[in-house]
Amino acid sequence: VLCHPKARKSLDGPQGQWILPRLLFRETKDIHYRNRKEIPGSFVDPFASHRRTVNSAAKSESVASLFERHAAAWKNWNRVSSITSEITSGPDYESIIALGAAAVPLILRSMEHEPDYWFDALMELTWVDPVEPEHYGDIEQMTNDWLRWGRQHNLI
Amino acid sequence: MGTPAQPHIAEVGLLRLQRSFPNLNAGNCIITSSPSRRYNCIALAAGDLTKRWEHNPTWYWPGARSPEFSSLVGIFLGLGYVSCGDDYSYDPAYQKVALYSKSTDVLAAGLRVSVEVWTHAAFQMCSRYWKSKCGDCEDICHELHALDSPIYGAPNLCVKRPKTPDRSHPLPDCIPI
Repeated sequence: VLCHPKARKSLDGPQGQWILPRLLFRETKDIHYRNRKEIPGSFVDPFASHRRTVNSAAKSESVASLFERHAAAWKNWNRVSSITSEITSGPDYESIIALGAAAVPLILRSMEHEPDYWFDALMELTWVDPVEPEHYGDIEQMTNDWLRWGRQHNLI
Repeated sequence: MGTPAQPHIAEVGLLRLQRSFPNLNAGNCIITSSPSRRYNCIALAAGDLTKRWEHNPTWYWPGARSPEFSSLVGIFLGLGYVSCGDDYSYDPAYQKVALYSKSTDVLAAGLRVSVEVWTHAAFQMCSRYWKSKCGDCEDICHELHALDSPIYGAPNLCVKRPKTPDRSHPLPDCIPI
């Protein structure tokens, strides 16, 4: 099941200034999405070059350390919203998505230790949703489905 | 529902909640569980402690997926509740749920429009207290307007349904005060 990125975060969250550039980025992704002929069987990152540009300022720091830093900051947020898209709309979460495909195995390994709201990032980065529909809403089952997908693709 | 909160953990939890909900204090709020990501406020109010209920894709939402307040109302109407307007008084014959909303700007076709979006739900426990789950934080019992804030807005509508034996809810009718 493919996710539809544009439908996900139209609301202004507490970090509303991040929403508009992200939507513009998604417009580009939607064009790519519509032009796709088939769902690839293997994991690809169609916007790798764009992400490299986004990350030009962070070249000196390894992807793993960047991920650790932003993930720690994101987890430290005061998560009182009932809506996960507001929790996942902050600059640290966006920075992790901007790391591109290299962040996927790091996210999956993090999920092995602690289930968290990584599903938005994973869907944005992989363009797949391996979660069984009957598991929607159950964070542990959703995590298990993603970990299974990661193992199938030798990412963890 | 998470495990019962330890006293020192409850103090930390209240301090954390007060950062977002300045009206909360030890006099109008009781921490009743440990933090959990397993369910959210809508699930708690609906009596489902196994999953998160929200309109975003990949989460459980037994209705039209929309952030608008009407979508949340539709969910509870589908559960057998009826609107009782702004009557938040305690009636032991009914289960009542307060539905919260706030006005926010959204981008629609390139234009910013203001819509009423759902933010929260609280389940009535007794004449004074309502039960809530605030994001990933602890379950709390609180007075109705203690959560009024820019994040949650305020209670917009009360819905109710008769208490019947076949509509068991995992929450007790009331808490010791």
